[in-house]
Amino acid sequence: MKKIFLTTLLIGGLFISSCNDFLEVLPKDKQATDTYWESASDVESILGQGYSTMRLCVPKMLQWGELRGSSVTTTLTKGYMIQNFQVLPGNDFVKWMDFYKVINLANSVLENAPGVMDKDESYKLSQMNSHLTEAYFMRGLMYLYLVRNFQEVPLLTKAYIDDTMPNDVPKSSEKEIIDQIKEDVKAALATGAAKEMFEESWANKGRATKWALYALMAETCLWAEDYDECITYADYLINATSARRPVFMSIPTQWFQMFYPGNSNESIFEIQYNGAVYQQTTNSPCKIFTYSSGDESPEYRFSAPMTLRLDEEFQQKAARSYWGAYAGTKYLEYGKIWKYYGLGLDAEESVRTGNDLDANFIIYRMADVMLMKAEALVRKGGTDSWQAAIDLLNKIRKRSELPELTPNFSETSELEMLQLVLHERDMELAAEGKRWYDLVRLGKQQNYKYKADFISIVIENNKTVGSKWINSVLSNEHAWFLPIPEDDINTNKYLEQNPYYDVIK
Amino acid sequence: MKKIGKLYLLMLIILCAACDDPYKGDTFSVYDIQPASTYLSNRPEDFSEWISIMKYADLYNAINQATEHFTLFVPNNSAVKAFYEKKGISSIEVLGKEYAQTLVKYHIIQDTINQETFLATEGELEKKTISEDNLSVSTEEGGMQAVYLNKEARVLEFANTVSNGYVYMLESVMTPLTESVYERIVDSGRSYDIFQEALEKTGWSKTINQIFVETENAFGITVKQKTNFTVFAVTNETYQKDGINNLNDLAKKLKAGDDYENAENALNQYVGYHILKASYPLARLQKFDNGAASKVYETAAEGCLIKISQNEDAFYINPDDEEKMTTFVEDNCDLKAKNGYIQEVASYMPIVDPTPEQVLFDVTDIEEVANWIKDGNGEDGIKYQTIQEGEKKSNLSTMSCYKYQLNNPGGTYSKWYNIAYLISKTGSGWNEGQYGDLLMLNLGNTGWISMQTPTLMKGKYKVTVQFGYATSMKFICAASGGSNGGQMKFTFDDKNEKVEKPYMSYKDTGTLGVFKYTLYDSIEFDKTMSHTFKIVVDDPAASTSSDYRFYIDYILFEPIIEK
Repeated sequence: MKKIFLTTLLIGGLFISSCNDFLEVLPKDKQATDTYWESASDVESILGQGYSTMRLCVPKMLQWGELRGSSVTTTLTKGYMIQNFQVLPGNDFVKWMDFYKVINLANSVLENAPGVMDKDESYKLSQMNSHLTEAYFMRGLMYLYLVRNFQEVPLLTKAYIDDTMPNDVPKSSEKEIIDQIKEDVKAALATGAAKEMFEESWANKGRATKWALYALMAETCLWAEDYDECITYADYLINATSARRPVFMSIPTQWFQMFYPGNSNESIFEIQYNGAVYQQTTNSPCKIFTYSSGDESPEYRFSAPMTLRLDEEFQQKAARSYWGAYAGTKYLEYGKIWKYYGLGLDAEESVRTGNDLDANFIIYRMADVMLMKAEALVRKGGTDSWQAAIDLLNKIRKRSELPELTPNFSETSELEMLQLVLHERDMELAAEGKRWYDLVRLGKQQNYKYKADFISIVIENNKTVGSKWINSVLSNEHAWFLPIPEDDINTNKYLEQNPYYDVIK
Repeated sequence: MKKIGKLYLLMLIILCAACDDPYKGDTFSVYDIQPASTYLSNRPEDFSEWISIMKYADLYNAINQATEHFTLFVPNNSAVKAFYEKKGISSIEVLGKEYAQTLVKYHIIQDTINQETFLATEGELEKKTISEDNLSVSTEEGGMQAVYLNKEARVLEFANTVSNGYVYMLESVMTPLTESVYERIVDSGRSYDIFQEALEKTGWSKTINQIFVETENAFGITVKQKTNFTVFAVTNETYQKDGINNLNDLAKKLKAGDDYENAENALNQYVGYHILKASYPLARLQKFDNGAASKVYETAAEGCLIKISQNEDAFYINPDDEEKMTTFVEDNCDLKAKNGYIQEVASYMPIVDPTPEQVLFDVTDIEEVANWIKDGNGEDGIKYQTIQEGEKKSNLSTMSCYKYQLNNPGGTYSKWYNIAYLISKTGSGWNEGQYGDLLMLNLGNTGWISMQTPTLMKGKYKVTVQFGYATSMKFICAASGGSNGGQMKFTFDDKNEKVEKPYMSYKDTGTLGVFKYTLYDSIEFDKTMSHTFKIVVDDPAASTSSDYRFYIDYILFEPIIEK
């Protein structure tokens, strides 16, 4: 009854007031905050929306994470522009809106969940704190994607009511955003409410656990060159003893289980799709990285240099190579992406179909975290650290039945060690949306010490644009990041374009 | 009840504040796109000087036409002031109306070039300026922040949208090209004196100084045609490294007689060897056919070829002769002239007889064809050697580079052009061919076509032809539907006849694509020269089937080196 009265009053108000600014005062898509946040299920529902909205982000997570690194390439015009460093602010593929939608949902939970306890007696502090840990994770993860792709973005920590982003917030610095992510993870972990597991098994990998928070922190610290902290958080996972911990699956034949059926023991956090029950297949990685035995030119495929690397591992019978990460084509130089589409059998007819086209998108898994630690150890330096890094690499290589690495440290440079880690990440995490950030870390860290080597790797892998152009573009470090979307520049006068792209009035 | 109270208060505030516009002072543009001149006029702080020049040249209103599309490269005010300073003048009027028109026309392309297309260009823009010149795009360190036109003017703003095109803002004025390659050598300010004198004494200077020549087209009509040259220039300092201090020293080193204007004279041949009869920017010279690492060019000296090759990131001229091999002086390359380019080389570059080389003759990679399509001839939106979303064709029956005779002069046998350029579409199996384009032929039975190959060094070659196939041609492959299997007769210089059915060798007839067919396991050419390659159709179905046609991508000549 109350709601009907309020609505009548609001509609009446609209009729009474004739000035157009009134429409602006009442939000178009008003979220009736006073009436919404009543019970625990309201909080759960918004969190659910957050996870669900993450699915919208998956295409960009893949495009942003892969194309500029050119291990995976595309034939799509807009993606091609990103791949070839010719991307402009008006390109739809740089729109960040969906990431901010998730951030806003997370902010709403962080702001409103505590108040729900006053209205719903059954909503206990421990449950509320647990919800907050998930919201912190969501917000942190989205900002980590944004900061790695745009470097400086508006840092919104307050919820906004309608669907329109505030248009009066300037960019925050990379450091401010990184600090916020770390603060969020620490706040989430401080209450001890982060769960090790949920009641439903899918949620162990589909909702943010304590393990997911550790992985997010490890990755954030690695990006921020806080190597010790990266190692600490990676170790919380690697050395965990809890029966409910994610574990590195060391048996070669289990490798494909990470992708089919998914939610494996090795997994830490995955964006979930359920085709059978909810027909959730849109934006699943297998709907983006499609596979068809007859399609010789899919929209996304491995580049020629990457296919050579995969093929080299195939010659050594690595599980993660042929019928693992990739499958062949008539033109052998371009491997097709198989890990999301195949069913784990060595036959091109054994593919997902119909509602089974619901492969999850893995954000974190144990091999990724182990390699994060290995990279941090290499950067820290010292024989012991390097040996520990090589041990981690070998553990992963052993799973793929590849020969162990035995570098002679006295004859090996830091760059060569980093390249070993980079190579291992490239192969193990092929097409998992990680490659570009791996390369940028190489080029950017320790005051751009390996900038030239970073550029060389990009040039070696990119066969779709001239090396002269790549060299020219990447000499400008701002060009390693994407342009701020045109729509946001137009609507938010406080937003300054990434200086590299500031070449249009 | 509390909530109702709050809401009532809110409504009161709304009503009270209803007419106080919170966005007062802000400007909201609904639709503010303007034609080019109006756009420039609305930015006087950047473009007032250029507007004055355009008005003086009577071209201000011309670029406001809504029915035409333009891309304007507009120097900003400081660029124009710097230009005046360099010229020692205070206004454009001092240079006269004709110069002003040339200058403005040099900064306009009558087509739309968006930022993506512009940035994707390395070298010359596909479309010419209104003054009929090519502009070239280059980049230095800094990507979009360091993109230059003609290596002269940095682009400060890209592709501002106007209702009839785009406006680019430049940091400098581009100097219009009025000089020939010869005049550029003379006025370059570089020490090309010995080379210049050699050009003059041999008479080659007259050839390369002509910007236009009169020729007859396919219909016998006299037309004025622009000349194109690439000149490999040598500085005095470079000559001095080989002990050459003047023209006499050069003639002596070449063992040349003093009849320099005689085409057989060694100095005359040497100078001709430094001239290509086509205009190539450096980027084009350093670009090779698919899979190749070198390319051979015919020079103006008869029978003399120059070879350019790549080894990793380095480019070499005549790499087969270690002593005579040289390189480009890249910083001094791409000196543009109205009729070509001057590329500086790092040695005196004597004539080298290159060893036989693999030659890939792409039958549509011919300047006449390129210019025809770049001039807009063909289906809407066709782009030369550029794969797009839709397949496009252009009728090539008037090209002088193809001689042909039809059995069906009316061209009525099938729906196809008799001779056409075809550029494939994205995702097509034809993209596996060179540049994704094909020469499409519908000549009728007994119809024929011939064309000149590039100059081939004397020697033995294996000759392979890459054909194109479409699924509607299955009947040819199967020798059914009245076809004898697509029989054709092939000759070089009316000799070495081979009667073959290449399409019958293609097995994957369910898939559109390209395939290679070995035409000659071995054929010997006893002279270094260009040859006439001729195909005669010998299949009755070519005159009866509406689906009959065939496609050629390239002809590959692979030298056979005998031990």
